[in-house]
Amino acid sequence: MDSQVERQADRRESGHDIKLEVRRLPDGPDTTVGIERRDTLLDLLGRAATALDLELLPSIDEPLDTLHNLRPRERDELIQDLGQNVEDYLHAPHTTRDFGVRLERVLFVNKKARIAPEPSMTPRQILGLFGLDENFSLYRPDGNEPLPLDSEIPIERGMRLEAQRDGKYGGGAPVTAPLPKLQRELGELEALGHSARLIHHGGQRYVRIDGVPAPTPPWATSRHDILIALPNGYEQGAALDAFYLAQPSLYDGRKHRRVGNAGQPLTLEGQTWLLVSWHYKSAWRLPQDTLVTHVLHCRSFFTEAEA
Amino acid sequence: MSVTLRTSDHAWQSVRAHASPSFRRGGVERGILGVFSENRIGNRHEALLVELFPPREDEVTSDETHLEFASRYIRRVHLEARQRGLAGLVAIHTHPFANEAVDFSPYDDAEEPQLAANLWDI
Repeated sequence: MDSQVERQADRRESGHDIKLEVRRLPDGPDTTVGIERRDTLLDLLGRAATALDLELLPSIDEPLDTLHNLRPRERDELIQDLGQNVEDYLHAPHTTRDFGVRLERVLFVNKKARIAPEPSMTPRQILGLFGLDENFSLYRPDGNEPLPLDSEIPIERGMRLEAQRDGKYGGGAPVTAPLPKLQRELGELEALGHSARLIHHGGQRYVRIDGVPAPTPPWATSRHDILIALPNGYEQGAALDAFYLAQPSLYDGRKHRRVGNAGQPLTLEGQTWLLVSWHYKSAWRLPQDTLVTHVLHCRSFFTEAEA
Repeated sequence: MSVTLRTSDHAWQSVRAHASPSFRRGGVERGILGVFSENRIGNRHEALLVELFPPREDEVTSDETHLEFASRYIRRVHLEARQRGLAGLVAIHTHPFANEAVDFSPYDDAEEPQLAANLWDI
């Protein structure tokens, strides 16, 4: 259905329910749900999950599971801003009335939940994912033996683990200062298996991540090096956005349309880097958003960006 | 708000017996964990020490100025409290160089809230 016909359909509904098709991704059953015009995409996600008999994690109010707009002629869109009004979203260009719910690999450690980026991870990587340092050990629920730090364990959706801290006391021991934010986050990236390195170039700081995975095809190579520019004041809360991609990088045999459209090419460490216009659809949130979550955002470019 | 910790005489003697080597020549910091139940009556808030769990050899490291409970020790006692439906953990430790007065060190004040926050989070 083209957008003009869709708008006519909306008018016919004259402020009542909008009917939308929803399916479980990647290839689950589909159904129709009705939703009020003033409802948000988060409401739609909750209603779709209920209609499809799916439990959203960690909760229906703050799910980590994702809502996608399904587009037959282009790559589906992962909807990042679930606070948008459904009607406004449907009137935006290229949107369709078909939506998908993807149940993510949600992992709980204590009371927090994150999406596990890999199907199996070491406890060291899991602790890094949750921002926990070497003062913590990981246990199965009601387990009394710490999981070996470097032995991979398979991660199942909804899996629960518990991180227990050491107890430190001292009459004369020095107070240990917490690691600076950037140093801590670089350590977390390393714990997650990323090769992350801080580079100073022309008065600007960058974090270089080597070997970011990409599907082949459409990408010509399965690993890419990226650079993330750190703004002044990052440690004080300034947001990260976009990233640079080492060249050459070919998508369907040519340069991706989001690569190299803005900014000047960089020459750094003997490579040419082009800026990738891969922006957030919602505001940078503190304290949830960090260099670690930004790397996950950058990684999603290789799997989510439309041609 | 203050909380009164109550113990049986037997438990208190156990604490003294466990702590006393700290105050002999060459003594190191010593510590022990226990579990407590809770009692609130009006404005009174009391914690009753139910049982002490002396650390095993591999569950604690210490020297003259430092004591560290391994996570597996805290875990063991935490699971006891959870399985018995008790209110929480009591951590007791010595400062061997204290003479007439003793207080929590800046290090204790920096570290213990992080441990408490972790236990609250689990």
